[in-house]
Amino acid sequence: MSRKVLMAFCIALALPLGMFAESRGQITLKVWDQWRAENDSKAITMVDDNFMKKYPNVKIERTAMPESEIADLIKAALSSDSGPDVIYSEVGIGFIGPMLKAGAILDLTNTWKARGWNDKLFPVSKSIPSVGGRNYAVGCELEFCPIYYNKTLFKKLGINEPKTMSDLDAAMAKLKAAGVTPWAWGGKTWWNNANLVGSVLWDYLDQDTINKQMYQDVSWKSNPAVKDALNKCLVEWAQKGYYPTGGEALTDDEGLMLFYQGKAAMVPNSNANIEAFLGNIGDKFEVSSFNWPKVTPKSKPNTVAFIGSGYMVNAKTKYQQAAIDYIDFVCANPDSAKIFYEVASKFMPYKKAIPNLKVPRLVAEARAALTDSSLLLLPGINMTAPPEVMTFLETNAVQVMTKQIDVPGWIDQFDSLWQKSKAEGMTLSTFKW
Amino acid sequence: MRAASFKFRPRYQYIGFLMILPVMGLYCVFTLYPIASSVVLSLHDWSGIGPKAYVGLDNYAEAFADPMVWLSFRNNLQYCLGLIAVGVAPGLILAALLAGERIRGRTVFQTIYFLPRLLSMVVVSIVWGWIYNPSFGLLNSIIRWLGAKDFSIGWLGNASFAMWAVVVAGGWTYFGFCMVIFIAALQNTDPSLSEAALIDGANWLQRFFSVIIPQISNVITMVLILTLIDAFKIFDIIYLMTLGGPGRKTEIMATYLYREAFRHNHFGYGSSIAMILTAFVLLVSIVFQYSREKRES
Amino acid sequence: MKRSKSRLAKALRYALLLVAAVYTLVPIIALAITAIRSEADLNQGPFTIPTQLQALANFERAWSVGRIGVYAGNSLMITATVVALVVCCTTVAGYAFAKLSFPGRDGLFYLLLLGMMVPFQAMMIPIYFLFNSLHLLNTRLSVILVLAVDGLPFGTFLMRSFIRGIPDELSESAKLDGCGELRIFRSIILPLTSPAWMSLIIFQSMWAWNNFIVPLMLVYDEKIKPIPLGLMYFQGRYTTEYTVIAAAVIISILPLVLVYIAFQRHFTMGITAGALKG
Repeated sequence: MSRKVLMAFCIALALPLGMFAESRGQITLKVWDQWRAENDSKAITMVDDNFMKKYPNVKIERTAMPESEIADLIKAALSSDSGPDVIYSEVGIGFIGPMLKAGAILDLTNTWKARGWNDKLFPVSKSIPSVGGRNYAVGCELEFCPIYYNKTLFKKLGINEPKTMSDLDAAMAKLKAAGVTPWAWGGKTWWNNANLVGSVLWDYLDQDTINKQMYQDVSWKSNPAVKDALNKCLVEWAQKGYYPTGGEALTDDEGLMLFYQGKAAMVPNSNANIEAFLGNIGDKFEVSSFNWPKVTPKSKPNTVAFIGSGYMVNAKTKYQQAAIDYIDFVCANPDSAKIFYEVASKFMPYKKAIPNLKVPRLVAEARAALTDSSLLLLPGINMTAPPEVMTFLETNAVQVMTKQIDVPGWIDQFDSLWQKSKAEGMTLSTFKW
Repeated sequence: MRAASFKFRPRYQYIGFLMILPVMGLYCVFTLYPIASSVVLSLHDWSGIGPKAYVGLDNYAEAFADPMVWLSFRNNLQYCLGLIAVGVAPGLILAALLAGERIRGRTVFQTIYFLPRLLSMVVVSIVWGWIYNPSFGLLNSIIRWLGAKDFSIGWLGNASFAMWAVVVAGGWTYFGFCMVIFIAALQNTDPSLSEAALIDGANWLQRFFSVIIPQISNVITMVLILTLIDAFKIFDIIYLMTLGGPGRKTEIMATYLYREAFRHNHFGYGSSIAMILTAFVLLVSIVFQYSREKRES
Repeated sequence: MKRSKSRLAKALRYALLLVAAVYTLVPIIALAITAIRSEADLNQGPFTIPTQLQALANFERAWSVGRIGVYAGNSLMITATVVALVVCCTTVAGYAFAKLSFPGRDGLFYLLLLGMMVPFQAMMIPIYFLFNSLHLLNTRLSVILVLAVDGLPFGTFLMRSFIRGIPDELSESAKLDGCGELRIFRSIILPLTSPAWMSLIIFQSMWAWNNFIVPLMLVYDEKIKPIPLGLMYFQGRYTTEYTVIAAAVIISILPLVLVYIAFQRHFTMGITAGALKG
């Protein structure tokens, strides 16, 4: 062989070897996430350190994204060639839809089986960030929204945890008679409206109906239970004065203030706020939670589950393997889950038992509820509704309360917006990517 | 042979081009180019990522048929009327009160009235948000003190009153500004006309409406037009106080297009709304400029 | 008879003026009082007489946790640069438009005036993507550029109006003495137009300091947020810490209020010049 050919051969050999060396060499994984709060930040730093100990060739470069309109930030980053490798953000198709359609997010469907996530993680973690039969994120920060209540006050007034809707109504009447506002609710914050209406709606509908609504875009006008649900929470409770006076103008913080001060007895909220509850209430009274009560004797108690956000991989990333390793380490690892529970009271999707978990009682209650198979755990409405419908839900609940529109009229608008989104391909059944 | 259209005239000072270059350069890049871009974008459908789809005038057709656009437009108009009531009118009255005979502490009063104008809308929204708070707000406290407990509602969350509540807050920052303009205008009026009317036995009110107002009618018209234009450009105060709520009742064109673009991923549609808004404002401005120049000639 | 009537009229005038002054000041004074009270004291109701003061703690918390100091620093940097940019560019351009003659002068000026009439909403979407492609998103520079360019049309208009009022004889005689254009500009025009550019400085500072929508769109990094944006998020996150929020607000409005009280005349001059002169 001539020397030239030999050299060419060596170079040709060396090239793939070089790439292989690079993948075993130092790489920097860019991660954008939402762990801004103090304890969240502490927890993720601990997890990152553990990750870097396990994978010494990977350096994690983390940026906590701001609270503002980050969709455009993410869009801009994903369009460029220097975007992050891993993104942890909202996963609703209203938010991430454009990025999915542009092919900017990696399809993770096969990864679930390959990494054993199907066995290790809660099903909602997979089902919520999936559309068109394909999954694009690992859902994290499992939240569910029971009703938190002032147990001390309940005991004083002789009220037990309501198990049925009529129990709840009776309890609220008693509270009202004793001069306490039943619901600590602030209607100015949109999330509160979505949570309240969504929870009650899901409480009245059975799983079959919910699935049909979410995944087949069945008309909302067809089921009388929808009307009952809305009449209950937007008309009946408003008329009986179960919401704070002028509640439509209060932010959710101001509503919570009423709860902390003992002026309002119950607040439908997410377990993500447990830390805030414990911090603000301290020893003033005992706070506990119960799930939304059964509407009919036969229905299973419903609890709405959300995922706060999800971990996604940039389709353009050069380090797919490392990115998935990272996600696996954060979400499907019992030690990481333990850190998040104990340091930040946040729920990782790891569903298997975690030994020696030392958490406040409320957190333990929440985790028990999540693993309780007698509870119907369903994706909440804001995980599944198209964006325009969500806007309507968030802003227009108060319209019924303040008698500007009646329930049938509201359902009409809600449904037509849903069907319009369906025509635009923005519902779960019609979205294509 | 070069055409004679470009003559090097010695009396042209070409250094002028150099002097206007910074201004015109920045203006072209950061104002003209974005405006042109907006026009182009309004003819497309775009989600913010990926390719743009040309749709011609579809966005405009959709916008004109969109009830939210008309609702927003009406809300802007309502805001304008509100500003006139709680901004322009008090400004005029205060100017009249201050411009007449010597008033003690005149500069102090003027300084005070203009103060709210200095505050950013964030501050205004915080302060007035507290005033309107249903439980501890000043407004409801006063109402309850007067014994009318039923009226102590959640002002910013009430569909009928939210817009007026926001307008009052906006007007609070506006009347001082109008007053300053009107004072300057009143100082240009002819005192001898008022004195003549006084001798003829006219009282203050008659003098005000028959003698003084006509002399400053130009300025009044100008302020009204400015108010109209301003009312259509607002964004901050609504975004901060109600975000277009409750139930989109206070949605205005600027917040609607912001939401359509940045929340619903309809950047082309949002741009078309922006263009409609711009066309309206431009039309009013141009008509006003034209009529003013006609009057001055 | 006439005297008591005019005394009554005068009393009425003062009464109206006082009512208006109260209406103007009560929110601000209530804010100031809230800023110096303690949380517990506030629970009596925000418009009650304060008994327990905690001013220092509130302001300290606003400065550290609320990061008002950081935001104020950013606002200062942004405002100073914007004002410098606007005043320099528009004074020069205003002079050129007013006194010099070159082809297309009037056409270009009217083109510039267009910018005064077009609302920001017309440009905001493309400006976002423009800065994105320039890799200038989330920088103070982007905010400075947008705010400065926003002020160029009015600034040029103001300076041009004012300079037009300067008699030509002054520059003619200087030219006869052999001065070039730039020298004339520097030694004659600049000093004579000081009321105009002083008003412009003040006007533009106020506008840049208080602007909310531009940083809202372009900036998200905690370290470079200006005051309006920072204050909004602070209030959003600590909604119920009323006393601390009030302290933060007081810190944010103090600079402008002090400048205003010192230079009130120039404020009003700028407004009337823009509004009345044609």
